[in-house]
Amino acid sequence: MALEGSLRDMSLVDLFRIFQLGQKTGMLMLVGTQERGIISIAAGRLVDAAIIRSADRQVTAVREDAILQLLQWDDAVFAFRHDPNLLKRPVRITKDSTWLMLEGLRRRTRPLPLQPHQVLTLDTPLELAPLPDNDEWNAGLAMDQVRLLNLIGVYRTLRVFCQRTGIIPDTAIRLASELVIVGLVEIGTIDVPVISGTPKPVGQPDTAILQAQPVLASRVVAGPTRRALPTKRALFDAVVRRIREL
Amino acid sequence: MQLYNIVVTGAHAAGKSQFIQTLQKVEDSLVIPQPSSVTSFERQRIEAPLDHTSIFIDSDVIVDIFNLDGDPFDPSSFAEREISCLGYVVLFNSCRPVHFAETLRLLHRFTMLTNAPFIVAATQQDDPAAIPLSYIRQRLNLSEQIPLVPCVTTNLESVKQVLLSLLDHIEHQTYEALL
Repeated sequence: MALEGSLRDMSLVDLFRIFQLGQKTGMLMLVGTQERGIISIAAGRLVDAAIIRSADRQVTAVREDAILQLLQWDDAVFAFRHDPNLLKRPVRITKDSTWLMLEGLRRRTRPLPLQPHQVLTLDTPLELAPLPDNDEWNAGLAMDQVRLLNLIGVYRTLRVFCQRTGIIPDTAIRLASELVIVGLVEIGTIDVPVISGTPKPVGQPDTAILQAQPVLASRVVAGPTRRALPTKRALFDAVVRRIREL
Repeated sequence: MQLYNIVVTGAHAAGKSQFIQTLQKVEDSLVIPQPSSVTSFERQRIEAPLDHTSIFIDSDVIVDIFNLDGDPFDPSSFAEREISCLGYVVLFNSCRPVHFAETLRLLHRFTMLTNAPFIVAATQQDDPAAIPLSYIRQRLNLSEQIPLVPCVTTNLESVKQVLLSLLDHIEHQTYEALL
């Protein structure tokens, strides 16, 4: 099976981040309305790329130029297949992936549609992500993005950053969003509503939940009914043991 | 007879049926209770043509593992099983980014419906092209407290690990509730 989908579900920038995170090796094929893109990846690094016009099969762009053009695409389907042979392929893309992503975002005429987890407000807690090993990526940063990277660890939110630097909020949000998209800044966990195991009960009284979960009930019920605990505990252990034995 | 449920859910083609079928292949886990030992309601549940398998714990206790389709999701079909639901497993296909939106919707629907503990299992993690777990956690907006485990639905050991992770999580949550 290959990793397959649409750029509407996962942007090319996100795909590049996945390739870096997972040190992937393989071929990414993109099919747009009139052109096709091919990107070779070796151990998470972009090594070659081309754009081919579908009508006459002419190559219209290669290497960094192809990557930067592909980063403008919003509507294409893709398939990524693992191919270890690409580890032997000569590296034809010399620019760093993060630099290419930043440059691609900068050239876009319209902002990249953000996924829900990438949407920022002035009060979203931000953290500096582990930075790439090489120094090539930072050449793609705008001056205010460099300031943001230097100060976000201290100020934590864009509201404080804007107050201290005088940068207008809309600009700060746009610059920070780009840094989040390319993975240089991460959204912190404080005050962020995330799905946890203790959601608020809706339309279901707590007592019913306790009945629904005998193990849970056995541990929170005190007093005379506590005698039931060893039985419930034993039952739970029996379930665990039985599944281990399968 | 006591019946407990573990619900397996996820978007279309997330691997729910395969997950159940892998458990069904374990011959001794298939238990058909004697009709005299169960009520008509229990028998109806056990014999229902729903994708499920039954794990025999002892002569009185059965854990049913149900495949509950998330697409389209019928809250009433879960409400019946929630009565004795130990917890649930949400499957996510690691090679299908289109599932992010549906899985998020599913997670929200379930957390509104029940407080039962749950874990997320990322299927197809044996595929070298699979989306890494760290990215899946980010996109599904899962807190660090929610286990996100790799799963190969055709592999019994992997399926067992998912169930054991859910049971661990149930146990852990119970301690948390006591603190």
